[in-house]
Amino acid sequence: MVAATELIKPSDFKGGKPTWCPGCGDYGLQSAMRKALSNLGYSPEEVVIVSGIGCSGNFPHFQSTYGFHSTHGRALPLATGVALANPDVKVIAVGGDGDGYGIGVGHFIHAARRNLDITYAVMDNQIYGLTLGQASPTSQMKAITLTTPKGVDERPINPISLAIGAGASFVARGFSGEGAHLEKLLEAAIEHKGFSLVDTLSPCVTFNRLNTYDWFRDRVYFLEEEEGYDKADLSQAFVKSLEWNEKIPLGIIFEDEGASLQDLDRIISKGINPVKQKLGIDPAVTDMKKIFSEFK
Amino acid sequence: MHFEELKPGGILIYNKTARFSLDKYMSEIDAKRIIVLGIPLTKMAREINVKRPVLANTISIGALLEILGLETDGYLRVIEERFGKESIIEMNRQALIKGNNFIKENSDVRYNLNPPTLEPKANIVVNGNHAIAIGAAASGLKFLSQYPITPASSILSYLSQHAEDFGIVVRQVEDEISAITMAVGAGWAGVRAMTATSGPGISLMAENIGLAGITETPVVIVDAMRGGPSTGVPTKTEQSDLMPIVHVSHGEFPRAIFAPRDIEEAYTLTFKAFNIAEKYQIPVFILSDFTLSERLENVEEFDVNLKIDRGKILDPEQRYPDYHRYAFTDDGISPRLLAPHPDGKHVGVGAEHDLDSNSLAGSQAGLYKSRWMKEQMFNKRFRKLKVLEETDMDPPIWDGEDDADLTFICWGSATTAVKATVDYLNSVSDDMKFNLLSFSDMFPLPVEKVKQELAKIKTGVIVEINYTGQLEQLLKLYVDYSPNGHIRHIDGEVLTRTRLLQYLKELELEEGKIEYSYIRRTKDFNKKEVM
Ligand SMILES: Cc1ncc(C[n+]2csc(CCOP(=O)(O)OP(=O)(O)O)c2C)c(N)n1
Ligand code: SF4
Ligand SMILES: [Mg+2]
Repeated sequence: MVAATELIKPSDFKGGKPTWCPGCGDYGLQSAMRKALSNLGYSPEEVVIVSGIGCSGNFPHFQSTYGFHSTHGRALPLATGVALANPDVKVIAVGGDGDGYGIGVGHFIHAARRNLDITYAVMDNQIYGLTLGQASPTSQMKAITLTTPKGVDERPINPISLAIGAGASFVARGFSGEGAHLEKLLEAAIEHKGFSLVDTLSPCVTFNRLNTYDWFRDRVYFLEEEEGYDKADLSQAFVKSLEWNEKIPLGIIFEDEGASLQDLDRIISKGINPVKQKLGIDPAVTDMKKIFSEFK
Repeated sequence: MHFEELKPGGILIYNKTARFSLDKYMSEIDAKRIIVLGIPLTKMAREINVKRPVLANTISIGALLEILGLETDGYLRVIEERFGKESIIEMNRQALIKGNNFIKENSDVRYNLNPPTLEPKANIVVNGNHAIAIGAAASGLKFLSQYPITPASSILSYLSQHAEDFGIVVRQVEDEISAITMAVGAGWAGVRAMTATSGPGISLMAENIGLAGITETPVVIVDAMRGGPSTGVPTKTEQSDLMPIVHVSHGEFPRAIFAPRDIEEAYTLTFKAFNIAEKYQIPVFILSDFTLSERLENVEEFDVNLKIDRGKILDPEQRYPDYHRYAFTDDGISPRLLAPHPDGKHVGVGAEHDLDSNSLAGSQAGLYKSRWMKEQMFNKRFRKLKVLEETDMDPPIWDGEDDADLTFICWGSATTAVKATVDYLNSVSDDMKFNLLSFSDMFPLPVEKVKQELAKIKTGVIVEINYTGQLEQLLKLYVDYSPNGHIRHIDGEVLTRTRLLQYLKELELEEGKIEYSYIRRTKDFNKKEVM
């Protein structure tokens, strides 16, 4: 992080010109993310934004940070490699619902339980945008899409309960139509020590005619305003995660303060930054006599 | 179970207490003049301790030692080291002596082995996976992500157990897709990163090996080959992933492949693999196999001070206002400037890209400047392959007699058996000379150097452990060489001198080149010792 005198502005994170359709929900995540990063005092070169493939996967190109636009579904493993190789950079993974909850769902579950300190922001539009409108794992039952002319006939994945069940230590839902709220969620997620999911309702104005901004505005409410809700209570969180059709909760649904992988990994926890280590055998670290003696 | 493997005149030892009959084997036992020796193993075990029939194992070893004319001291020491509890040690000690005495008293069948009395020449006993793991660590490995699979698992377990000794982040991950992708992420961030697997894992990794290719990210991938395809025979050996790896992943990008011939080379070539990966910013493969990965050998301690070459990595203390991640250079290699340097910012991308890693997919695709750039990027990446071929790929090496009548051509771990065969043939042959030409630097083949060596061959026979002749395909493709014959071993067992000599008897060589009875005429060829 930089000295407070050198104030970083959200616009300092501006990269290439976005290619998203006008009105795409992904713009909402972008501006909230830039604000959150600048509020927290990060400068662009300290941040690595890793994505998979999809309209949402183009996100890193539009920011001035370091980034990695990897393959479909693989943002989380790529981000994990970067974060473990260089604990000094701030790693944020982003992607779509197909990317994270479809082809990459195995990594999602394991990233949650691995509890590496990275933030994962999913632009959940309940559709495959880039490939022109097929059903996604979060498409609702009966939704008409390019591949479901009579309506979706498989049940949708619930990313919130899936993440909680998999052991994620920070699970939140935001809405790109609620920028200020999303910004605060992202700040909390980035500050959280451990794996943080921010599932962001991010309407696809071109291919999803069902889950529009208005559809969400009629349903969303802020969990922070609900009296008595305890985000540290796993059973409350599970129940809350199931709310969807009538009312959709926004906010931090679950959070616990356990140790992150960075606190537990046998190398990183010692404060060692692998990328800064000298290569080759350092006799101060490695006793080759001992290593070879095991083979005598 | 092992009856078929008994050789004429061999000894059949069986547990006389067990309820089974030898009747159905009798005619073959007679025909092969097999000596049958029944020992009441279980009964004897119970005499030591009624609750421990398992002592039959140690009793049979005691019996074997006597038959083979070996001392019991060495084995007694092993018992003492292996079993911690004094009562168990004592029981096993008794069992060993009991088996030994049984033979002394009841049988005069002896087969003296005459064990070598030489002191072992070197001082560590390791397998190929240890050599790879230590080679990686010594060359500066900082990140290993792996999913367990035979026969690559012990790289993961060894380095897990020594993560702190070497300062390596070691992660066992959810699958091979994750393993390779994490390693690519770590390689991009600037550490030496590796993953290890076998054929099934390579198939899963394919897409993201291409990601390393197009993003020019250094990464080392070990493929400890096993019987394929699919699950194949996981615990048996094959050299069948060479051509799959020459082509692995869709599209075209430079890569390098090394196949160590023995344990020492498993160490040195792993070291080299990391240098090549960073110098050329490419994925580099180490092709081991079941035989090499799991075989224990007595070797000298590895030299941990080999030269480390990280290639073009810019000094983070300087500023680079004109930095471009994929700047065009004569050798195609663009300097790396690692995060978090303010001048190095770029987005690594699996899409084709320009000098600054801006994607040329989507709205940029097909534009005139994108077409030009795409072509230039291919030229740039493949310039690296040419430079690599000419500067760092070593030619195959000769062993055996100069100017031989027959040359065996082989690669990787098959070399050990081929060398033993050549030495043997030279020692028994009156009028014929044999040698071998073995490859370890498989891809890119150093074409000119390889051609020069192949031109010296009078009659060439390619020996490899696969069905379709993958080295043969590679040589045909890149240096237009065809051998006079080939031996392709596919039964899964380790290739040995004995097996190779059997193949040789059946070998059909291209007509006119050499009379194959020539090989048969070599002195002693059909003598029993050969088998
Ligand atoms: C291995 C692989 N399979 C399929 C594709 C094609 N593909 C690209 S994006 C995509 C779906 C994207 O949907 P989502 O992740 O929801 O992102 P969105 O475009 O909606 O932001 C698919 C199927 C691919 N790139 N790679
Ligand atoms: S297709 Fe949908 S998801 Fe993609 S950019 Fe357009 S609005 Fe956004
Ligand atoms: Mg989507």
